[in-house]
Amino acid sequence: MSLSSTTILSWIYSRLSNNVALAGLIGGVSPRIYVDVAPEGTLFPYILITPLVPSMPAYLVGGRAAAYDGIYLVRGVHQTMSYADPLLTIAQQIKSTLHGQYDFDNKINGCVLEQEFAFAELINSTNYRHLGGRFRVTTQEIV
Amino acid sequence: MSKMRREIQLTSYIPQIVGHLEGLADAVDRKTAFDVLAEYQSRARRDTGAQVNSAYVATSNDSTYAQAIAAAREANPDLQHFLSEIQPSDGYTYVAVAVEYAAVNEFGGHGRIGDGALTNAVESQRAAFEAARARLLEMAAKESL
Repeated sequence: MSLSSTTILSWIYSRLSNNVALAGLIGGVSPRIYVDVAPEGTLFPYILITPLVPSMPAYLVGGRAAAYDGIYLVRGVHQTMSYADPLLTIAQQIKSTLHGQYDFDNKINGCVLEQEFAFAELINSTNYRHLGGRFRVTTQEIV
Repeated sequence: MSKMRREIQLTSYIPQIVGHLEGLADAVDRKTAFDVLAEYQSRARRDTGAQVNSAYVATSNDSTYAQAIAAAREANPDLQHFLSEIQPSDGYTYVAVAVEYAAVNEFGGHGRIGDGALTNAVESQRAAFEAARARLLEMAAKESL
């Protein structure tokens, strides 16, 4: 993980964990938000953040990266056969919490939803559904 | 005094210019697709090799699907089921992977970490693709003057 990807992950986590509407759905004061994979035995539903492209130079000035882009998949995961609530509300809250946001104090130039994401899994006869979006996040140079 | 008739024939070269640029745009799309494919095959998880071998490029005119499936079967003869071939509309070029489990390897799942190999492959070619497209637009602007 690079400095910029750590910055992006911290920002996403902070935004999601401070969303009161989400908290009630994913565990309250200790929200179930995980990077890459949830711990075994985690209750459902939870939010999973996957750094698809953790960080790449986005704008080069004189051969030096002035900003970095990252592509992050952020979705609610539930043990269910349906994309309906609570998964739908979680996905809507993820979108409203991240899309179109910026935070210059924390070096986040912007975050946009590039594509909505819905995914079905069947593991050992158990159904899981994922619902959320793929976000492009741009950071300022981190030194 | 005799009457003289003059005719001026106007020839439009626009169809030829458009055809030429469309051909170049197709070539750019095609090269980008094969570069994405190669990047994906170098980045993606490799167990039996069936997943990376099953990746293919499809346009409205042709596809490498058959060769990809043959290579995937050779890598893992036990694999029976492959996703059906994508049939792109005119002007579209796809890079696709023909095994179902590629999605969970790409995006991750419940209990599985995603590697984002195809997303990374696309992003690795984005700058070159956009630069080539920008050059085509410049050519189009010059030729239309």
